[in-house]
Amino acid sequence: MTNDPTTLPAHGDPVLRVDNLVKEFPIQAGLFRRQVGLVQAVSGVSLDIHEHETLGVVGESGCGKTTLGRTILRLLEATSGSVTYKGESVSGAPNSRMRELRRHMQIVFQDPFASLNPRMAVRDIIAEPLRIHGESRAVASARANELIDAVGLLSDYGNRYPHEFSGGQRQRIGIARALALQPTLIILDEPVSALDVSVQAQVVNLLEDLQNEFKLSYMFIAHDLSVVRHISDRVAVMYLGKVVEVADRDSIYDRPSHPYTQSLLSAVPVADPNAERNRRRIVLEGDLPSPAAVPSGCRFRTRCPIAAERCSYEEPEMQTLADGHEVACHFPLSPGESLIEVAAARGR
Amino acid sequence: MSDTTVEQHQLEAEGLSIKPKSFGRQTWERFRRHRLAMISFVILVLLISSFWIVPILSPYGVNEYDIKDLSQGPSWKHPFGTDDIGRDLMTRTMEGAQVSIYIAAVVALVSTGIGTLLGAFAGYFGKWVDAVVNQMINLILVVPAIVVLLVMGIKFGGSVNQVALLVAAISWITIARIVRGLFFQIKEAEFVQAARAAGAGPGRIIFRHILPNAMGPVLVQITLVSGAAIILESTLSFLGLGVTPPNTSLGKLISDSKGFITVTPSRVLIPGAILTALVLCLNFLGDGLRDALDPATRKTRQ
Repeated sequence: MTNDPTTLPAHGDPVLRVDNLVKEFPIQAGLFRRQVGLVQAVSGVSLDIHEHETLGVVGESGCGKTTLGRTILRLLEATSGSVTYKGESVSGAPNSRMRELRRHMQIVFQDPFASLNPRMAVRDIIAEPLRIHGESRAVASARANELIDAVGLLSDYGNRYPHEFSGGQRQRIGIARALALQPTLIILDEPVSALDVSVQAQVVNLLEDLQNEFKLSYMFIAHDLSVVRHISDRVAVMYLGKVVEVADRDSIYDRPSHPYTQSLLSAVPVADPNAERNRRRIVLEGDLPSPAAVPSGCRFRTRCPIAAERCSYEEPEMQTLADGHEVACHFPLSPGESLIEVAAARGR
Repeated sequence: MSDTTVEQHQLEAEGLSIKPKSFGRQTWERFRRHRLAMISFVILVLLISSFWIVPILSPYGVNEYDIKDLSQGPSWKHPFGTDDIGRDLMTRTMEGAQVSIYIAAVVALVSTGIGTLLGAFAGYFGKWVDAVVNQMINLILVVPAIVVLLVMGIKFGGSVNQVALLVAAISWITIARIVRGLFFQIKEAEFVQAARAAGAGPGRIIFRHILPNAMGPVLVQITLVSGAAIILESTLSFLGLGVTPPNTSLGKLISDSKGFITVTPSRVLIPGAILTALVLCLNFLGDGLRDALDPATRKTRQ
């Protein structure tokens, strides 16, 4: 799906298929914990991830990216919709089967300080998934040593405790733990957001190396668009619990169709100072609406510079454009069209 | 050079890489710096060992009386004096303190066991499990403890073990509430989510992941519960519902001598002072532990 043939994903069935996934959280209040409202953190997300592919998922904080990742792995139970791993239903799997499925789908968390048990030595942390799945202590430890080595740490670090490591090293430990069960899919939930920029690059490179070595599929959740561009094959843009646009990496960065995607991308700083000076940023008005009271029709319409009346009553369906973009907008921008110009032409 | 080797060198330069410091070791190092807690700890060890050593060295038996020395004040022959039937009070006080310590230990053990288990289940499973445990806790909270103990004391009191279990039946709630709260908090932590993602069941998550991270505040609470148990036992014994003769305890000693407070005030004051010292030391010990275990101070050292 990208121009680079080495990362071309295999054809056929996707490794992971997410279909119309919904996750709601009740808002409770008062003495009797009456339910007074509902937050739809994820509202009807459909996605595919193919073999050896990285799907980037971007969006503002609070748009449901993290909840999406956790709901896929059933760390949170979905309200409705389905998740399928290689044709097998994850959402409907009984506990015993779910345990087996967890071998194939792992997660790396955002916060390298919260994601490692402070009372366990590093080797035990990495060996634990293997112990859970019935490996002997000796085998699990030996494998943990290999993994410590694979993620670029010294193997005599195994006896140490998480607090003795830096953020980047801890994230490597988290990655080693996720790799322990030899999964095919790893959900990377903002794996580098908490790290220094220099360390970010090392971790991203490590992730890419591991992907090639172990033929992994990634779902890379992030809000940093440059990192996502670097690592992803395809990118999904989320706004307020919904996917608004999905396309190949280059196509989404070069020719964003959804007004939200375009304004999001316009916020990325450019390293060239001249270009940076001439860069036209699209500044969205207002804040992200509360997910407890989402706007009618198109969720983005309250902040969209080109919203029309239709947007307020009709929710846009996901449509596939000529260039392969999937976009949920009544008025998708054609390639080369600038949101600012279109808005100006419409007298706003 | 990768960042890990650079950091490795830095760690070696700081002398940190030779021996990994476990959580317990770190805590101990921090605790040692807490002066008041350290002093309390030493006093506690000295006091408690003296309770067992002194009666062995003493020339007098616990219930051995000497009719020539009735109701004596402290002297070289009887450092703590004698009671109204001529028994050596130093031996008796130490024996009584042994009983108090024994009761405190049993209460700490039993109430920690029950409290941790019920608190852990309530906090981890929530829903109806939590509701049931909460109702039990509320029930014990709303009924005045001393009234329950008095009534129960009449029915079950007497043997040292019965008194201890009685006190434990009330003391576990403070531990359960703390453990429950910690579980609610820690079960959402990412390392717990990671364990779930790896397929860990509730048993592994509760005992290997959450409990070890909740033990700090529980340890602090255990010291406080032990102190409270000594006081509760003394109260019961003072009211005549605790341990029964020929057994004795600090509370019982004070109770027995309350009529002689004008004749030999030392009979009340000495066991009272020991009681106070024990409870104070336990509380200071708890304070020191809390500071040593506090994750906030730990953060700054990262």
